[in-house]
Amino acid sequence: MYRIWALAALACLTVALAVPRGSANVSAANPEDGKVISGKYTNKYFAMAYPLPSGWGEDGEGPAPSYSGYYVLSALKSGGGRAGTMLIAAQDQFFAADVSSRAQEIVERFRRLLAEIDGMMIDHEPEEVTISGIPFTRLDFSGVGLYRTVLVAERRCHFVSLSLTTAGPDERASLTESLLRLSLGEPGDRAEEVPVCVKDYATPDHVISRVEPTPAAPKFTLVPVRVIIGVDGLVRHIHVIRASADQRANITAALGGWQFRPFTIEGRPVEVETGITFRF
Amino acid sequence: MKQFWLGQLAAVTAILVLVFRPIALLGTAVAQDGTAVNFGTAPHGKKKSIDPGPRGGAPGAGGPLVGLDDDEQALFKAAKSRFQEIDSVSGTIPGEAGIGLGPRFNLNGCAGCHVFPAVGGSSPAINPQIAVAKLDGAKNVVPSFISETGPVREVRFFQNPDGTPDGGVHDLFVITGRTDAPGCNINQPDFATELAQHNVIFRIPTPTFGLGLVENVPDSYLEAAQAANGSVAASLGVSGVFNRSANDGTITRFGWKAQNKSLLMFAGEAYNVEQGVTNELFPNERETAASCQYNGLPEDTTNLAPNFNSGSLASDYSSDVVNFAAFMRLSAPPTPVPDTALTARGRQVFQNIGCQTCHIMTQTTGQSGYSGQSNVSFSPFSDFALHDMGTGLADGIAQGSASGREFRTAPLWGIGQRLFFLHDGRTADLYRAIKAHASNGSEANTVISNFEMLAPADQHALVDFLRSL
Repeated sequence: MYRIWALAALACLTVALAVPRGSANVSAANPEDGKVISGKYTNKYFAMAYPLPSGWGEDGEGPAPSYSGYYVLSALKSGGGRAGTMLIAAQDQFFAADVSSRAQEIVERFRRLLAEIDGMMIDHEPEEVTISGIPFTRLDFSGVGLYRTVLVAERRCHFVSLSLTTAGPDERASLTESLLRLSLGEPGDRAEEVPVCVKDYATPDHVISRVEPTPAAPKFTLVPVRVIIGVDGLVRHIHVIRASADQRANITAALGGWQFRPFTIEGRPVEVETGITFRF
Repeated sequence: MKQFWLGQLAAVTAILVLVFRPIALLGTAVAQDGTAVNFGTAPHGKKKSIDPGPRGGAPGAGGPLVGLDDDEQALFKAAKSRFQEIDSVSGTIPGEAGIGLGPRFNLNGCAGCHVFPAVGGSSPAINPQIAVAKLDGAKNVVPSFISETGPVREVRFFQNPDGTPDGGVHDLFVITGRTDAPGCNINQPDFATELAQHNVIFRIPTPTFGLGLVENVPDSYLEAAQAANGSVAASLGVSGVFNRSANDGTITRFGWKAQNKSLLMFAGEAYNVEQGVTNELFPNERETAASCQYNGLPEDTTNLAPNFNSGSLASDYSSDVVNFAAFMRLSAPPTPVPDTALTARGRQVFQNIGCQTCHIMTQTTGQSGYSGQSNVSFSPFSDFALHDMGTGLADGIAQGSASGREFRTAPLWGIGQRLFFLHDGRTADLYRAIKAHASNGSEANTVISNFEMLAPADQHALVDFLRSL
C-alpha cells in the first residue's frame, strides 16, 4: 500500500513540476532576466553589471519584450527629487525593423530625428566612447529643461542602449560618469562560453530537419524566437521572445524536432545563436 | 503502518501541489488583473491639478469633411439625422421611430452616447443612461457605477461564472416593463455581486469625428509612420504593435483596443451590442428569451423603397448601420484653436518629452473614393497601434491580438473639449489622465518620468496645448 501511495505522489509531483515555463532550457539566460539586487543591476545574458549611484533604484517593471525583439531591460531612477532616470534597453538585431547593422548608424539616424523636433538641441554630436573596453556611440541632447544622453553598443547581435535623462547638465555629467563603473563581459561573469551569433542561420542550407509548430491564435502574428544550437546540431535553448501562451507552447514543442548542420569555425563545431520568425 | 501514513501524507501533499498549483497561478493572474483595475478611482498625485478643464466656446467638430461634393454632403446630412434616431422596441412609440431596441441595451440611440461637444463625439455632461433606465415604463435599477454627472459606460465581465474568460459586454438595461414590450420578463445582470467580486470593467464611448480619414490610411503608411519613430521610441522604452484582422491580416484600428476593422463593422457591432438592434452585420439577437422577441430579424435592413425622403437616395435606401458608418466616414476632424505662446510651448514640450512617439501628430490618407479626401494629411495624434499600458490601466480584456494590458493609442484630436478620459472614464482631469499612463509594465513610463521632471510651467504648457486640440 505504501508503494502505491508513494508512486502516486511521485507521479503527481512529476506532472505538477512539468508545467512549461516558457523555454525548453530554463538554465540559459535571456536578455530580460537582468535585475537590480543590492544596488547593482546585473544581466547575465549580456554579462553586464552596473552599480547604481547612491540613492538610485528600479522604477517598476518594464513592458514585455516586443514582437520586434525590443526589450526594456531596466528602468532606473534616482530617489527623492527625481533628478534623473536611466533606461537600459536592447534591440535584437535579428528582428529589428531598422536594418542598420551598426550602433553608429542607429545613433546618427536618431540624431537626425531629434534635429527635426522643435526646441531640441544637439549638445554633443555622436562620438565613439569606450566603456569597460566596449565601444559605445554617444549622443548628448537637450530640450525643455531635460538633459539627455544616449549610448548604444552592439552585444550578442543586439543593440544595447543606455538612455540617461536629468533635470540639469551637471546631473547629466555626474550620471554619465557613473557609467565608468559599468562592466560588460568581465572575466568570470559567465559560466559558459557565449555562442556565436549568426543572423539567418535557420535556412534550408543549414536545417536538416524541421517540424512546423501547430497553428495557434492570434492569426497573422510574426513570432520572434532566438535559439541556441548545440555542437550536435540540436536546439539547446529556446527563447520565444513574444507570443501567446499557445503559440509559445507549440513553438517550443516543434523546435524539439529540429536538427541543424553544426556551425563550425575553422572546422571545429561551435554553438551558434540565431533567430527564427514563425508566421501564424 | 507508519510507512503507509507517510506515503499517504506524501501523496496528499503531491495532489495538493498538482491541484492547487494551477489554481495558484490562475489566482496570481486574476489578482494582477484585479489590482490593475481601479474601479472608478482616479490615480491621485500629490500635485494640484493643472488642467483648466474642457475648452469652452463653439464645438470644434461635428460638420462634414471639407471638399465633399453635393451628393456626399447630402449623404452626410441624412446619415447624421439617422445617427440621431431614437429606437424603441418596435418603432411604435412617438418620437422613438427606430425599430429593434433590446431585449438588452445600454442606450436607445447612437447620439445619446456620442454627443459631446457635438453629435458624433463622446460622453455628455449629463449621463442619458439615468433617464433611459425608466423610459416608457421600464423598471431598470441604475447600477451604482452610473451617475448623472459621470460618463456613459458599458460593462464587460472578466470571467463567466464557471471561471472561463468572458470579456463580453453585459448591457445595463432590459426592456422588461416597457409599454412596447408586453410579456418580456428578463432581469438585469446582478452588477452589485459582480462588482463585489471584482469582475467588472468599464468602457466609455470613443469620439467618431474624422474617422473616415483614419479608415483611409493605408496599412503601409501606418507602418511607415511608426517605423520612422523607431530610434526615438527605443530611447523611451516604447515599442507597439498593430492589431490585425483575423480574416485578412490587415490592420484594425477602431475601438479602445483597435479591435474593429472598419466603420461599418464598428457601427454594426455597436448597434447590436449597445442598443440590441440586429442588423445585416450582426443579424442575431444576443438575448434569446422567447417572450422578448417582437420583430423579424434583422431589425435593421437595406430599404427597398426610399421612404425616408432625406434628400439623399443613397441614405434612404441604406440600412441604419450603413448610414451610421457614412456619418462617421464623412465627418470632419476636430478643429484645434490657434496657437498661443503657451500652447506653442506646450507643443514643443509634447514633442520633446516623447508623447509624439505614440501620439503621432500627422498621418496621411491614401487614394479615396470621396471627393477631396485623397492624400490628405491630418492630425489624429495617434499611431493606431497597441501599446502595453501597464497594470494601472489594464482591463484584463483581450481583443484580437490586444492583451489585457494593451490599448490602442487614443487619438488626441478634440481632447480640448472632452469631458472624460481613459478607457473607463475614470477621470475628468487631463493631468491625472497623463499621470495614469505610468505603472508597472507600461511603455509610457519613461515619457511620464520626463513629464514629471519638467518645470511646472512646462507641465502647464503641455496641458494647455492638449486643451487647444
